[in-house]
Amino acid sequence: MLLDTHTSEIEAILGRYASKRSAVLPLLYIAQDSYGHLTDKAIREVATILDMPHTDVYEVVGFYTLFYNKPMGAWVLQVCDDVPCCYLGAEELITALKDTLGIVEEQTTGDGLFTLQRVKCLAACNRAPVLQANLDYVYEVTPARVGALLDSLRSRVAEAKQRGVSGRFAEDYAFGPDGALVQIERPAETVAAPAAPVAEEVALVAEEVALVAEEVASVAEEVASVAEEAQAQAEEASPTQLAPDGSPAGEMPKPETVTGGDAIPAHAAQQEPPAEPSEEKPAQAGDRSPL
Amino acid sequence: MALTEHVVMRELDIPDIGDFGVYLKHGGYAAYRSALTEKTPADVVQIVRESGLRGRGGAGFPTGVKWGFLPKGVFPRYLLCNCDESEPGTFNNHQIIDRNPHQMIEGVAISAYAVEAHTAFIYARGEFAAAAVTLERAVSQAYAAGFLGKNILGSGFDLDVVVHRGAGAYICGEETALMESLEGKIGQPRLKPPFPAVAGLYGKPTIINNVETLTNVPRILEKGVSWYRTFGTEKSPGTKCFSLSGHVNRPGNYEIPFGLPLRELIYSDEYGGGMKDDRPVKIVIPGGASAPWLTGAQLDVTMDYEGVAAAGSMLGSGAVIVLNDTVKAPHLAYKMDEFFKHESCGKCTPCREGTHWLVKVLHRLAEEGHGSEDDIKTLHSIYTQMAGNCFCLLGESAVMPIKSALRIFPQEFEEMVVR
Repeated sequence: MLLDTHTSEIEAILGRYASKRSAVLPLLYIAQDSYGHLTDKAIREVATILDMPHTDVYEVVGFYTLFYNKPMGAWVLQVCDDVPCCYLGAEELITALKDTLGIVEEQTTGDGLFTLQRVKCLAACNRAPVLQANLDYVYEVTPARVGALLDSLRSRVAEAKQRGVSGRFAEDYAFGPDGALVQIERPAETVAAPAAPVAEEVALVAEEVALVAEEVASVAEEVASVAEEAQAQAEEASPTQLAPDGSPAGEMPKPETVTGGDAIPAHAAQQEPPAEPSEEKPAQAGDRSPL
Repeated sequence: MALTEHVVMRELDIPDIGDFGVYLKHGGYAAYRSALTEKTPADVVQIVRESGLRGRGGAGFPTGVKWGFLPKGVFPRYLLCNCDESEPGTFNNHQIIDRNPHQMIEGVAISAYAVEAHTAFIYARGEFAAAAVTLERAVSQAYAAGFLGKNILGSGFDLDVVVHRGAGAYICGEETALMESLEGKIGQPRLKPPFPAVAGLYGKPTIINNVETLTNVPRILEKGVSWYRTFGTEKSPGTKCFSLSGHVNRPGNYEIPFGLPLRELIYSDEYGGGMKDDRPVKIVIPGGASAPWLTGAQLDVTMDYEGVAAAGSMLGSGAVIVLNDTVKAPHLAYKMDEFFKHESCGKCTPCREGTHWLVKVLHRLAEEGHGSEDDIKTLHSIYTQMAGNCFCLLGESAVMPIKSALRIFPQEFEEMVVR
């Protein structure tokens, strides 16, 4: 159950809104990552948490393009075919992907690794042609770079570094001078100290935050030592580099033994990290009082 | 001449401005601090009004005037930052979040103070997944430093900022559809009036502004109205982050004062760097998908609200798509209306059916290559029935590409007809 596996994250989300129903999109993202796609069970679970008629949740799932009510590949490749990308190589890119993967749009490869979709403008027209892989941007994907892209995505699945389809922990990528896919650096992650003295109570709050961060850090360490995939997680969830929700920064499904046919890697609930640090978010949710 | 100091895209002056520490070092959150401790909300509204800042999301409405529409004494109020940037050719909000997120958040915070809102939502399109992570992190940093939360800087002002990710729907950039989406419903627009300032999110007074608009605010407060008005024109003060794309050598975001000739934006080495392979400009869409097209003969247009309007188009979101002579007008109209068809929310018939049939007929003409003479008449008939009859601007916008194409390049449609 989502409420058991994602207690702190869901509580924090619910704490942000005056109306529970406002949390439907973020909760559907969590459900989608947990179940691989939005199954009937997942949709009804979200409806129950939010006290919404389940038909309303179905309506939401049907309206927004980033919710999937059928199994998807481990990587959902969404290529922008809009203006101006369509005049700057998007069609060639789609053809190259189709040829390499042996599928057409809206299909999933037999090994369950890739689903291909055409999408509308991705707001990166200056770096055409562009696609998203599970909402990680990949810029300037010329047909010649398709091989390197797919290899990198395959190896991320093999190394269990692939993330859910909802993009809750997304990163962006571009190709380096050597043709390899490299992650684009984001603004610094450390919480800097205030530049000038601030009012006392603010300093207190900051202290509390620091304390909470420490607790989270220790929990994260425990998680790392308990979990089998300690190595991979510890890298992502080192004490100073927590994801915004306080959970270890990577929610990584275990490596999938993908078989042929239409098998789709299921991002089942038990593949979530075994425990989530639960202290930080409630504290923050407390700071951000419900409206 | 390129700016020596940027108002919004300050990562060009200070590369690591996205880093919280660097932002603070360069005066970050000082304008916010001074607003909270030395100015009343009404003072801030007045300053923004005097600056002449106009909404950058497309409509170009004066921001300070918009803030003045709030009914007096009705609370709670909400501030929404519209970051649903999804129209073909627009990508400056994306860069602002990626590279200068704290100035955006400071802008949200100052503006929330100005309109006396204690909760602000940043609604980011669902595809801005990594960007939302960046924003979440920046918001957490602002909380930790005491810039958000309760009794901020001892001023008694409380503010919570929530980053809310959409899930894939261009229509959610329409302000009332955004509110519906934020309330957990499908993103279909509401009937106006009442306008959001009177009854918006959860039925409460709500101000909604674009990312670029709000990112201007800290600099206006920090450097003053007269400094801000040294940029741009009398009616379009300040700078604009133009998203230049298409067949130019150097596509990208360029922040320039309003008033630059289009030709210079395309050909100057500081901006577009000319056309790829030196091919001629055929079509320019100067303000996003909903702007009527300009042609290669109109490159002397000045890039400000009044200049582009005088040329029969609109500056809109400042998304400038430049296309060369390899592009066929019917195909471009097809692709553009395919976008609108895909994004139509389905609420009203003229838009839902109109975009559907436009695309169907255009596909036959431009893609399948067996259009009939009647198809051209049908296209005229469809957009005429849509114009003025759609529930919101999405449907009205879908009229522009096909109307432009038929008006400027009728012969290209004739050539597509199989006789």
